[in-house]
Amino acid sequence: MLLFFNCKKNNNLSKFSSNERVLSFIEDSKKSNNAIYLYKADSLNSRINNDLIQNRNLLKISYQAYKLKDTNLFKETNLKAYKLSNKLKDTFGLADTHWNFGAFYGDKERLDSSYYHFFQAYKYFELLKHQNYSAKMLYNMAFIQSRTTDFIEAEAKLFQAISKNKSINKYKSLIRCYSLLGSIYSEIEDFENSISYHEKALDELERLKDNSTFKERILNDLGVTFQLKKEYGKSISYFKEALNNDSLKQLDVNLFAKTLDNLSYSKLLLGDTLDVKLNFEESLKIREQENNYSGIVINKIHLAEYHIVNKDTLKAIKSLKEAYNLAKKVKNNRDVLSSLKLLSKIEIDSSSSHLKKYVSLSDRLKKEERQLNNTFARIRFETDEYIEKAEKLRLQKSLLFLSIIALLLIFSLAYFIRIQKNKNKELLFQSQQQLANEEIYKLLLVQKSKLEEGRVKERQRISEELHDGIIGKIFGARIGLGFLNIEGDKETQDKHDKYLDNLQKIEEEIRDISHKLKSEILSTKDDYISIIEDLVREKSELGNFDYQIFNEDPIHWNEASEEIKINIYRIIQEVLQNILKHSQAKQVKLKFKKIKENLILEIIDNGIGFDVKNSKKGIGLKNIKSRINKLEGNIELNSDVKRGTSIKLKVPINKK
Amino acid sequence: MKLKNVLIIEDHPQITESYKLALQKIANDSNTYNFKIEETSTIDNALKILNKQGENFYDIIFLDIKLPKSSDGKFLSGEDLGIYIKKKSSNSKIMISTTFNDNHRINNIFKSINPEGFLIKNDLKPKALVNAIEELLEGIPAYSKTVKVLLRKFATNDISIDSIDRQILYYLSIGVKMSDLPKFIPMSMSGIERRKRQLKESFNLSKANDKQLVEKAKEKGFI
Repeated sequence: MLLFFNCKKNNNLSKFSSNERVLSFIEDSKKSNNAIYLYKADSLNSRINNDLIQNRNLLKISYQAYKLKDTNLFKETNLKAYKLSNKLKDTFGLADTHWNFGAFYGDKERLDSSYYHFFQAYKYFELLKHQNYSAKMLYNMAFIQSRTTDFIEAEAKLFQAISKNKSINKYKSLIRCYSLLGSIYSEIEDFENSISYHEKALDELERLKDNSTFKERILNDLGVTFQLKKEYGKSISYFKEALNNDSLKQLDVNLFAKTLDNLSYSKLLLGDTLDVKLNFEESLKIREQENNYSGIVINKIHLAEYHIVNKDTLKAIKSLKEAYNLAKKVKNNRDVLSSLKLLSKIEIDSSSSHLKKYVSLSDRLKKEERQLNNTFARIRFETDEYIEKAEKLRLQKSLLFLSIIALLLIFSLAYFIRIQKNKNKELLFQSQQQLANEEIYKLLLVQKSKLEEGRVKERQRISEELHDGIIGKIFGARIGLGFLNIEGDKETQDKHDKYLDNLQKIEEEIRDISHKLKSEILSTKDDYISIIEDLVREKSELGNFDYQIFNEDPIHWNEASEEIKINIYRIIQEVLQNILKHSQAKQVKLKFKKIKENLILEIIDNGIGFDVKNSKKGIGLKNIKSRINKLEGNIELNSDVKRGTSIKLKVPINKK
Repeated sequence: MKLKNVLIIEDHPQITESYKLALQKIANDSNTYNFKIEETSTIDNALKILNKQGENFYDIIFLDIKLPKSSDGKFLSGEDLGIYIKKKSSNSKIMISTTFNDNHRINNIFKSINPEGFLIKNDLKPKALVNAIEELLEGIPAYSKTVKVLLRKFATNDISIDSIDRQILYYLSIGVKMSDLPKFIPMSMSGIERRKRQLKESFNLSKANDKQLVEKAKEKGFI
């Protein structure tokens, strides 16, 4: 019989009132073992809108249906749960439905399907890193494979399951694994290991204080092992120990019958026929009542062997044939084989036909087993392939993701660089514009000074022309006239002298003019100041204000660097612009002073002023400050509301 | 009757004529002097005549300052020629005549040529010219009005300035920029600045600007 793990998990997510009725129906069906409640639960559940809750309930219903062996309901609900889990991408739900299917097909002896579903469940539990359940799936697969004599695979799976169970301290599961491992070793006649694992199972059980029939089951297994090892005495003592539990018959009547049968068989093999027939018949009677067909078959075979020992061949044949037919009917091939084997020994007439049947059946079985094992291997392989594919896909996905990120990075970097470049371009453009402005200003200055120079030269030329040429000529004429002896009266003589004096005065006047022309050069304003004055005049006309420029102790602007001149010019321009825009000033004063090696410039207006503290620093003021900083100078800004503004700049003239 | 050899170096024919008239008047009026007059209007020609006649041949040489420079470029003006004559022919009496009436120039000519006569053309009237020539002939320094006034100023001035100070003042007066001064005066900028400051102090003008300084210097007759 199958002993799959089916202890159910309580995933009670249900806190919804509509859901409670479904759950209570399931509870009702559990209590009454009646599937009707489950149908009610199912139809109610299908009306719940929340897919997640519906799915959880479906899993419970299908499991309950499985337990009540309502095949149709189970299949329907489990399939629904499977599809819903798929839709919800609920891995746990998928694993659970596979588990249910695995158990279901296991019961139906459809081992390949069962194995497939356990394997899928295992895969999903592994994905969820659910050690407990994945160990259980491993156990279930190992169990199926031990059934098909694929012991090596079964052993490997059990070892995996054992290590998982140990890591999470699941002792019951661990004991089951030990026990199954012991049985497998016994099958391959590795009795030492078989006994040692059974004993391990017993040790673990001691610690667990379990009061089910677990211990008796293991004791029975141990007895069987020793029976196979042909140590019948030991075998008998284990069976007896198992039967020592008086309540065994009540707790697990099948196990009781099995142990009793095994005990009698060991006794028979030891040659002790006392009570043997009676015990065989008792266990057979129990098994027949329980419809435990495989138990009945074995019991009948054992009984036949008893008859053989007692040389009652007819009874033995009869019993064996019953066993053979029943085994065939329930498709218990192993027992078909053993009954055939025995038959061939005692039924001499048809011995060869029995043997033939035996051989062909055993060949067929081996073939089937091989095929089944191949199927298992294929399932595993396909899954591995699937995993590999998934892995590949995952890798591709992560590669894609990485490349997208890389691309994004590259793009954003490129974008950033572009922005930076544009900024730089803008800055470059600005500074070029600044340079161009200053170049224009320089040209302006040069032009102005050339103009001034031309003016000076022309004055000089006129001055010299007057002085050297014209005065000389008048002088010559005057002297010449003076030496002329004018004939005439006194009056005429006097007039002559008077005209000569006048001529001399004219000479003096011309010379004065010549001198003034020259000396006015001195009083010509400095080129730079005249440029500034032009600027101020222009602005004053725009802003309708009066201006005064004080250039005390004239500063030798020609000695000042172009940089200072340009920046001062720009600052004045900026300040005047502000005055024009905001101040409503009627009068503006510019004062240039030189104190020590510093140039002081004060610009004072009588406008409305502004609050220095609260004024946002405009671009204008910023520009002025940056220019002053360039010149390593400083700036003082004073402004009172309604009193006007004064700006005082101090710049070192001989800045190297 | 004394015969006096006279050379007139003057590029204004009318002025040359005036000199000749004046000399004629002296000769006519006094009967003491007779004049043998030669005239030229260029430095080149003057040099030729001077070299031909040898040193101290001329008793009186009228010299215009404002003359075109010599063709070899060695003599820039009448001033240079005057220096040459003083050297070669030290007994000849030089009568400078010029339209320049600025003190600096007059002062410079005194320093370089130390002429026996110095006439500012504008001062002259026929009578004054005749008087000046007569004085010169009698060995009296013959200066016209402007020159006399200037000499008096010098005599009463307690400020003494040297030629470099004078040059600084002069160049400033003709409008040369401070920054260009080192091109004309063999001194550094700071040296010139220092001298200028000292000049202002000696004129009691410590806070004045350059214009005021130049005006004061003119007033005092330095330029």
